[in-house]
Amino acid sequence: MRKHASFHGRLLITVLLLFALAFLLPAVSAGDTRLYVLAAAVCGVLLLFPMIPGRMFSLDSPSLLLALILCAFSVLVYAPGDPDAAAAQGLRCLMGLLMMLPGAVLLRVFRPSPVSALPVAAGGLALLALPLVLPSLGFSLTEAALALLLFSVSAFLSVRSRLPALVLSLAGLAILLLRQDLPSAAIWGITFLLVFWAVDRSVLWSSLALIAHAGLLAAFLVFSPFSPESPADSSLSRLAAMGFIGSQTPPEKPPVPDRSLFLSLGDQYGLVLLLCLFLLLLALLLRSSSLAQSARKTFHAALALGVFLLLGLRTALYFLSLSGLLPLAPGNLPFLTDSLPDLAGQMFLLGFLSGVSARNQADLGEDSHLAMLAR
Amino acid sequence: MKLLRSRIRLISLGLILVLLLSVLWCSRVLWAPDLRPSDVLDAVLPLSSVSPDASAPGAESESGKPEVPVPGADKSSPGSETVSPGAESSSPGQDISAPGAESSSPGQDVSVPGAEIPSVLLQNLFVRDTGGNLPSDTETAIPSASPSPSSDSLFDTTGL
Repeated sequence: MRKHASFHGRLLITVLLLFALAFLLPAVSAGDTRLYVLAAAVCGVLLLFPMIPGRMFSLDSPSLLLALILCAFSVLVYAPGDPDAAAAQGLRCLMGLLMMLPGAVLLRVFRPSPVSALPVAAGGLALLALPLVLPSLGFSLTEAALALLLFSVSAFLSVRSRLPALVLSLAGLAILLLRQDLPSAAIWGITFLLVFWAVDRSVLWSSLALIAHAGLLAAFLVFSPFSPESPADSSLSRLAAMGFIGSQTPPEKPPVPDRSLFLSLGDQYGLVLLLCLFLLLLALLLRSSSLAQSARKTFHAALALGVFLLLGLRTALYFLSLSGLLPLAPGNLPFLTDSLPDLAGQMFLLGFLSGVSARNQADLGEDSHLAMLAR
Repeated sequence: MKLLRSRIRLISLGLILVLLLSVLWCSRVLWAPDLRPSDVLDAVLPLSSVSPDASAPGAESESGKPEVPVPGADKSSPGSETVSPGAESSSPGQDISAPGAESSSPGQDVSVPGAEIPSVLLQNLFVRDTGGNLPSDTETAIPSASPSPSSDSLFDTTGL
């Protein structure tokens, strides 16, 4: 345990030094006071967030550290060109990080039952249908809504209430299709079907769920044919033009004309950094998969698997769109986004993971206590 | 719970594999910018490029260039699947090359441009799989083929 803590401490110090350098170098070269303040703020959050809220709410340390690093990179992308935009992104990240806390608390106080899952399901559907009810709304809470839907579906499946889970998933899918949000609909449909298949042993029910989802999707595509979005040729050519270590020249205007922070980071710091970012995301996904496998209760395992799938499918969709295999605009990667609702929803999902991790730790502690009593 | 864990492991492996493949496909802009999904499919499954129209005179290859006619090829029946008499196969599965035909890539076994040689390979496969009985739709290709002494299973038409 002490060795593990020591490794975690060294890793944190390395990350702190890296980001201090990354923020201070442009600050020194530009002589901008705002960049000094930003460097201090980012390093302060990296140091203090795991120590204070992380310990108070028993957040999962590896997931939290990975999320913090990704958020710091999303701030760094703005810093050399536009310190004000970097500060705004920093605030967005901080508010998003705070959404981990309700996720962790909700998982800890929740006891899965059909009655307790219903309000969560209603909340998820309401958030999902918000853009349909209020078309003038400038943002969508899709990620948070999908997190709540996943939570309630996992609760239903853990108590073997298959029909409510299926109906809830179909309702969510129908709302997403009505909103013409086909990527999110595909992500939600695949996530639900895989979680359903993993949890439920009945081949009949799994087949029924598959047929129902495929039928709904086919009916929608018949009445409203899918129009491919602009291909990602420009993104690919941008990727090809990047050097391995980037141009190192600060952009004159905010470096996100297409809102893709991942590619903007590549423009500035090169392909090697993009590879590192992908590996960080992969590590986060592997952590969620590991938590799902070590969970003792079906509810926790299903929820962690759902988080893994929602984040992993979003990442896969980004790269498949970027490579031109899917006729979609790439959008943004999880945690590397300038959209506060998306970031908050993804952090909410990480909060669920933290809750599962804390539950697993508690189970292990109980086991060791019982083993000690048995001696 | 054991089944649940094994399924979670399976799903995780599948998704991570998809992720790695998609990133690898993205990185092709660095080493092969003109590579398309159909090229990869053709490389993995060479027989998927066989089509009945591929051997028609004037048919264009995937690169957009017209096919180079194989010297000595039977042109009496345009449009039908013909096997180049000049193409000699010493034994099934070995290198097949026609005189004057240039190989597009040095490492490939099949070096004749056009779709004649894949059709020979296809027939060869059918002969092996069906124990000498060719499928009915490949019968038209046999009379125009010049048998090679060593490839007796390929052109054994006694069973037809």
